Amino acid sequence: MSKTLKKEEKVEYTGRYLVLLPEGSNTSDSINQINSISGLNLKSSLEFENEFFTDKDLAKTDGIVLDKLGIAIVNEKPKIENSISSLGESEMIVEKERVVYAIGMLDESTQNYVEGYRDAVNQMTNVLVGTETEDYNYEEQESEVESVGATWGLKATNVVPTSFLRYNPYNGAGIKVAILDTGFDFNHPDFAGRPIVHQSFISGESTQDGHGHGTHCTGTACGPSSSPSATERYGIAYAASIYIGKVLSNGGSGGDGGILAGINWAIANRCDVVSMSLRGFVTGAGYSAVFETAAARALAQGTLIIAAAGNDSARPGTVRQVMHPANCPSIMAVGAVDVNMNVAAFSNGGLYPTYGAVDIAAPGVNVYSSTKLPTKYASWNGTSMATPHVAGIAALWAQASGLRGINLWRKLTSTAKTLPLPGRDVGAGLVQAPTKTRLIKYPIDRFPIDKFPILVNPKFPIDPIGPIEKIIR
Amino acid sequence: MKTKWLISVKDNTMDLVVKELKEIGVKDIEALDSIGVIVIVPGNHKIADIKKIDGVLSVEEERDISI
Repeated sequence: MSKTLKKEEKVEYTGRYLVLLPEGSNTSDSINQINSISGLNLKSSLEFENEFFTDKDLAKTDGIVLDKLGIAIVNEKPKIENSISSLGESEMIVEKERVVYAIGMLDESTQNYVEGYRDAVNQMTNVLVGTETEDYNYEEQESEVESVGATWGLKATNVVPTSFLRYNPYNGAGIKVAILDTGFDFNHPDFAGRPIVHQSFISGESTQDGHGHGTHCTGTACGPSSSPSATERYGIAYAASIYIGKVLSNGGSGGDGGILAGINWAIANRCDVVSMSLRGFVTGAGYSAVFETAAARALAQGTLIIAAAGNDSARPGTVRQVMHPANCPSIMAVGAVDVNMNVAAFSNGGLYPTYGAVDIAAPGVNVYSSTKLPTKYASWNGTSMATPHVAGIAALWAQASGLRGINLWRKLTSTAKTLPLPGRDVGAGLVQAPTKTRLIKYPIDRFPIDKFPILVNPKFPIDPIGPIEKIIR
Repeated sequence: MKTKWLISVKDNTMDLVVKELKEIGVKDIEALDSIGVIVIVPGNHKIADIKKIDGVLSVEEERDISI
């Protein structure tokens, strides 16, 4: 016997009644008639905006007449039972309202067969394109077209997947990202209209970026998805909330106290991610107990601090240690790689077994992003440029997974792409953004692949590799 | 300009440590509640004196930071 038939054997009722009004009667007359016969107080669906009402609205009345259908839904109340019989005597058809289920279309043997077939197809799909599946739709294709022209860093980290089968639906919406740096150029056109919370911790200087470094880092972490003047997309978490803490002067320097004040400010503002492309030079062993305490407390409150490992190496000859404050165990230290997945010559390494490790790597050579006007855009090198890649991607993961603090840290390192390089230099590997897999519905021989547009956004020519302007140390 | 000192304190001891710092004559005190750190401009104090205060975890001199 089929499951469907079993369900049909027992009819369930909601307790309400459906009353079919006499043909040709208008709603107002019918309501008056029903109310006078039954003593009920019915309302018309016309009394609700767009004739949309909920169960709660229904519960507040004796019933509601559906104007376009000529049917009244009458509520279950003690006085209804007697009233209903009087309606039946007045040429109105009265039925009990049934509980309705989705229809089971198959008998048991057919269902088992189809389920087995479905499982086999799913298993094959998982093997071929991964386990996450999303239906293909044209809005996503549009999004892909918008972002094809993107920096090599965004492609390498899967912020902009290069495979047609994968896409990235995340943009950092709802996530607060703090960039503690030289401030931000609030006149930059790519951020026009974007709300930015800001605070200067440098005495005598506003948050306006007089250097350009802070604007570059902000651009990578949170820049826009498209721009009329940029040659390619450079921003990662383009819908994240931006918090600018100026902790470095327009000359590019500052002190620990201002940085701690900036971290404190970011936590007080419930920032989920803090990006710090800065470093204090250290020569001896050990790390700051004060910064470690602060960072551990930040993690416990759901704020992940990410910092640059430093650019003090001159590989292959000299590898310097991860600098302060990135050398604290509770701060995620970022090393830099180039487009060929080699460690950047300047990138510092994890030289000590118990602290000062490089935790993760990101693009840090020839990184195109925004900078202060009038230059507007520049390609720079440094672990300073790698750090906001991780911060922006952390925002995407925070949005995608809901994880914060140490759990967000683990998500970043556990999903990083392993590189054939020493862990000393790249930690868990190249940071990777969350993506989803398209499940194309059509059989491959019917898929009009030759009719698809070439995914090029005229605003973003593909891969313009410009000269490296300067190295940030 | 005089180098600042960074003081990390144990949980829930911020007010107590700030009070003690004032009592020994520290005037410029910035308490960072969210991270449990106090930044001070020391007078003629010694780091050892600050470390003796109940609730103090560690004391460090401020470093220069750059991009």
